[in-house]
Amino acid sequence: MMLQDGSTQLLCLTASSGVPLFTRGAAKQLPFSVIGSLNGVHMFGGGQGVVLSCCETEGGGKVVWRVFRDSVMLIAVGGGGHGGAGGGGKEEEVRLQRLLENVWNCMVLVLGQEELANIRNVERLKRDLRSCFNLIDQLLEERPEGILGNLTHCADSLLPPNPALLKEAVDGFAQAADSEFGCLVVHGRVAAATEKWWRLAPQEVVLLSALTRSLSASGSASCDYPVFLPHGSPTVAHRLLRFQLLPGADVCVLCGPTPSLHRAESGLVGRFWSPLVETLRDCLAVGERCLPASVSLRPDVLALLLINRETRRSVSCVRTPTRHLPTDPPLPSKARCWELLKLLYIFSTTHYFSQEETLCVSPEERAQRVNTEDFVLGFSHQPIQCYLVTEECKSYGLQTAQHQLFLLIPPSVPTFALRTVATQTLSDIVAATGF
Amino acid sequence: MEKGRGISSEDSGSKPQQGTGDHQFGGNSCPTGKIQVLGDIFQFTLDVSEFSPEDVIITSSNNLLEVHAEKLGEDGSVTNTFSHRCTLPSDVDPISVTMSMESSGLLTVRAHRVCFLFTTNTMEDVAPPGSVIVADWHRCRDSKDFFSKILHKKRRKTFGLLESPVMPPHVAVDTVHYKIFISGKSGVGKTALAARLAGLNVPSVHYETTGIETTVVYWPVKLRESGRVLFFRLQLWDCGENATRRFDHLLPSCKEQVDAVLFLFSFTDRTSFDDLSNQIAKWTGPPVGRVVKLVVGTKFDLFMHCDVAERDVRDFKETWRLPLLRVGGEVSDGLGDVAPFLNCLAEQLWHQDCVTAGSAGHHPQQETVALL
Repeated sequence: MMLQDGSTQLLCLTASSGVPLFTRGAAKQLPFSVIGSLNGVHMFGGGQGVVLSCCETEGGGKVVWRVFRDSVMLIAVGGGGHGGAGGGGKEEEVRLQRLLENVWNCMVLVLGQEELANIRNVERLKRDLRSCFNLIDQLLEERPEGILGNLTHCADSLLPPNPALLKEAVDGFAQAADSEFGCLVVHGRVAAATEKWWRLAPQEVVLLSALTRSLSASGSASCDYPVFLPHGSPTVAHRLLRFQLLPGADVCVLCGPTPSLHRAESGLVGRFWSPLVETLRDCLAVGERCLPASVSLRPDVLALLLINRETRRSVSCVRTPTRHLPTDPPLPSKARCWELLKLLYIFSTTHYFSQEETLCVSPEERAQRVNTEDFVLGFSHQPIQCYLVTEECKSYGLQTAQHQLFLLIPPSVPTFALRTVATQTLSDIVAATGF
Repeated sequence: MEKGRGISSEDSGSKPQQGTGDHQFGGNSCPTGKIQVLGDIFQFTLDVSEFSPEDVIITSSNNLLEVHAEKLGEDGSVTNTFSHRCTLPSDVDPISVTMSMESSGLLTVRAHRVCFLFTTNTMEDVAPPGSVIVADWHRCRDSKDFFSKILHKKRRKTFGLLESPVMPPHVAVDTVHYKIFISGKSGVGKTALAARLAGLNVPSVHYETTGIETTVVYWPVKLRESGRVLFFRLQLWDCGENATRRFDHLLPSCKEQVDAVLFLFSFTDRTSFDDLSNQIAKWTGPPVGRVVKLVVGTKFDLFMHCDVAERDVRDFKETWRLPLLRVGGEVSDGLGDVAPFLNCLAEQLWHQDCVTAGSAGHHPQQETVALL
């Protein structure tokens, strides 16, 4: 076993020469000789015309390789122990592959593709890459809890009580800042955004949310951050202006050279947002539930993740059960529920549900990266519902043309009732919010 | 048999938490000990003439100073005891504590406060500390109503851009806005300083700031002459040094309409100190206009790794005659931690405005904020 259970280490090397650029994660670093061997074995495969993408160690650990732009190699080493219900091999592999993809996107976001694809000065690149560590560490530590966008590549959203009012304000604010891309982030989740914002690649929306979240968490009042968009604009930087309207509520716009941060802040923020202070407070009050009070969830829903497949948005929440009898077996903790929700998502999308749109990679890359198991490909039809019963809880997955819903339900609920709980939950939310 | 009388008393130079501590500036109301603040010198005198010098033991740990004395009679019994405790204000530099005992039996403990020696007459555009605003106002009783507006559950309150401290309607307080740029090498502690001043969580790991981040600090200040209270809204602009090199637009954006610059150096990094002169020179001269300049030494607590000698700092001050502040060490919740710094900054800013406006008491940029 190379690493402690549950920890993940990330290695970054130049693809051509194997020079280590950085390592992150895990308190105890892998010895240099191991890093060299991991690079060596991938290179050896390359010489034989084989792409080594994943391997499993005897102790249940996983190693995943990926080369980006023939320039940068990322290796993720998972120490195992991330398992649990249905955990293990495939889930860990999907998790690590997603991680590598996200890390690369972070690197492009901060540094731009040009500098990464054509490495001229390794020492300089090493120094510049330090700028990405904040975002990369967040990915590795999977914080904050309750954010699933990095895995699903659907923007974590919060459905506000009066969306139209906020949407209008975001539109007006963005326009005044000479931008078509504007977004309101509440508790780290997208509460409203302009049309164009949703036309950014899903990973970009997720990535910008992550950046906004980390900037917001630092408590700063406003920011002017140069960002490259990994898909839309990998070589030309835009400016991400972010303003903290109230603690926990941030508005951001992507713009060009104007307006300056000072001007936008003094001239625009108050004008567009002061009239909406109460609306924003209502929005903040929604909290971690992410759903407005108009949605009444059935008491037997422990946790849920709802994805809109068209808009690439998701809402998720974990609830504290109200009617739990002390005689019943203890329910999984909040943190465990989030963990289970992620595992359920990976399990369902690799085993039963289609996942094609969540992997935004080029077609030739997709051929080697399809995570769907042969088992699913053997079907002549598309499964639309699935369930899983474990000792900890029961879970249910449901897929329609428009939505995917994943539910965790206490074990006390009879299995035959799961389908009703799921379909009713879906229709309740959609009817109340139009999500 | 104990016949001696025992005096046990306690003086406190800092009671920021209670907010009720009456500070004895220059006053001599306490019969046993006397605290004086003379410029940047914190002085504590005590009459121990009843004891011989070898009977007096002085111990200090962190900011707590204890004086203990015992007089033994012929038979070895304790005839007189004395003990006195004094808490040094948090802005006192613990390393600078010196003590002396005069033949008259007067014990004097002296320490330098973090705000430093000003040579008033040689430097016209630097206000001597305490000359414009009431120093240590946060310890006075009448400031409580104002400081409670920037606190929430004993911690500093964070304000979104749409918020500001709200006073009751009959106490109209003006808010004055300032833009302050934090300048310094990468890793010197710019982001940490902004967080410390705003009472935010100071990041435990260093991450580069890859763009501009601004932090807003509200700070109530009482003007010495008029007794008028103002809320200073200090917006600190922090920009990663590497980012300014990679993107040309960031630095000009930081310099736009700036009122003050904090030049940071780290006590653990000699090069950052040596580079100060270059940095300051860039901000001197006609194109920049009038800007308040303050020098800030960070990581002062890491004296094990100190790379900048006290003598160098003194020489630097001689040359530039700029206010120099030190920060470092544990962040405490109290206001006392940041008060000297923010007061010094506010004082210089207000002084500059008065000089610019040509008449004291009038503020050119005055803005009243009427947001929720």
